[in-house]
Amino acid sequence: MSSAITLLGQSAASALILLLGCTTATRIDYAHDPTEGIKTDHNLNRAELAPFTVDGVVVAPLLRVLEPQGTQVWLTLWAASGKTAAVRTVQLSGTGAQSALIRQFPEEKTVTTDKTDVKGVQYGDILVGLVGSDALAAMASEGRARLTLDLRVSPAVEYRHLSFDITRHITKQWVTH
Amino acid sequence: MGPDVQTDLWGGQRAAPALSPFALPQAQTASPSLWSPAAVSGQLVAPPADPAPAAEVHAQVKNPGPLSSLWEGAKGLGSKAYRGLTAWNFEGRDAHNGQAPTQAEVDQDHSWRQLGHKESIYHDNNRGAPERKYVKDDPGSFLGLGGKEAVIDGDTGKPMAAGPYQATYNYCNPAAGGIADHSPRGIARNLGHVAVDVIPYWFGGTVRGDEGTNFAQRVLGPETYNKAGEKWSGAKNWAGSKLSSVGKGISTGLHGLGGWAGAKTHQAEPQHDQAEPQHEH
Repeated sequence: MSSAITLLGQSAASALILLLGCTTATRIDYAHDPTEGIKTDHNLNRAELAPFTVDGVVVAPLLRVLEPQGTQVWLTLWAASGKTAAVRTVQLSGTGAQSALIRQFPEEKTVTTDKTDVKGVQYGDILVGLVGSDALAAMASEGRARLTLDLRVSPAVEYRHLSFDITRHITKQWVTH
Repeated sequence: MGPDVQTDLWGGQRAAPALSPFALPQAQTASPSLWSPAAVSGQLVAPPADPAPAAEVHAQVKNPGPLSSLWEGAKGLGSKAYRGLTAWNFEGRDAHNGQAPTQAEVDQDHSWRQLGHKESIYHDNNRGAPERKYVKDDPGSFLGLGGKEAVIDGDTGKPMAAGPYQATYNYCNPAAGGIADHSPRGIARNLGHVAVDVIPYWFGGTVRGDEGTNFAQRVLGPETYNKAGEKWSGAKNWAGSKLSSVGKGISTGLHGLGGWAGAKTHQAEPQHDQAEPQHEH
């Protein structure tokens, strides 16, 4: 009798979930919206990319949330051909009341856009460093954080200053399998 | 969460033949039946004075009748057909997903995106630290919809390369924007993922046979399933104790009523006893 009741309960719970069709979860991501679309549309000529372009190289930040390690800060450099660029004085900070929260990555790093994506656009990646997920959450508690950096593309010697607004996105996700 | 014995519909895994709808009960080999060879049936009705030697009977039982052979053949064909029809869901996914990457490889490749704990419940063995699940788009897949997976054991830090919680290729990765992505592509991705990746898992499991999980566990996820089981047990115990106390109350009430009725009888009896001496007088 007891096992029959258990079986009935399990079946009812399963049927309920089936009727609902899915199980969901909430996720928090951080993204730079204007450059986020490059991965899917492979178009480097959009007008909104101009502020993030230096000598034909488009800089796209990527904040990759990893648990329990923290959040990796990456830069992907996109170009129509092979280019070499150097990045330095990368800084992630809060905005508004959180602007005192700052994380700096002073080390200079160089990358060449020598990989090719499916549409023939070339790119290269730089792992700038790691920031604690709690620290980033505090920086972006008002909805956004700011990433700034200096970049030069060879053979230029002058660095150009770039600034990116990193937006916090809270989304409902399907449970995946 | 003991490993429940699961079998393929056509008995691909013979973990518990007695539970298979296609397994014949032992008694049928020794009783006259359409499925038994005629010789065995005949032997069973023979006079006990002329019993066949045990070895001969054994040999005759081993020799299947035509209907039994037909049934075995049909089962074999069914099993083969089932395997062929479901190969895309098991061997196909393994082939597309390739070798399970290590944590270090995942860390160095930002195209791997980590999913949250709740999103990963179908790959969490519910033991120790939670497992870590990563997904990555597969541009070379049909219409670029597919995606690879990596699952790292939360306790050992090693890839879960086999078993019911291993990484499984997605024929349709869900939309990165989640449920709120109402673009045609987003809707198609989300519905497609449920249809070709999630629902087949609910019914077939991650690996062929999927000995580790049952249907309810697959739908709810092992952790939610266990919690639901605990709540259900708690509710059953609560209801049982309430019913028991109600039963005890009724029993006590009835006992009291019986006692009261008995007392009335006892009260009546002395009057009777007292009356008799009066009667004698």
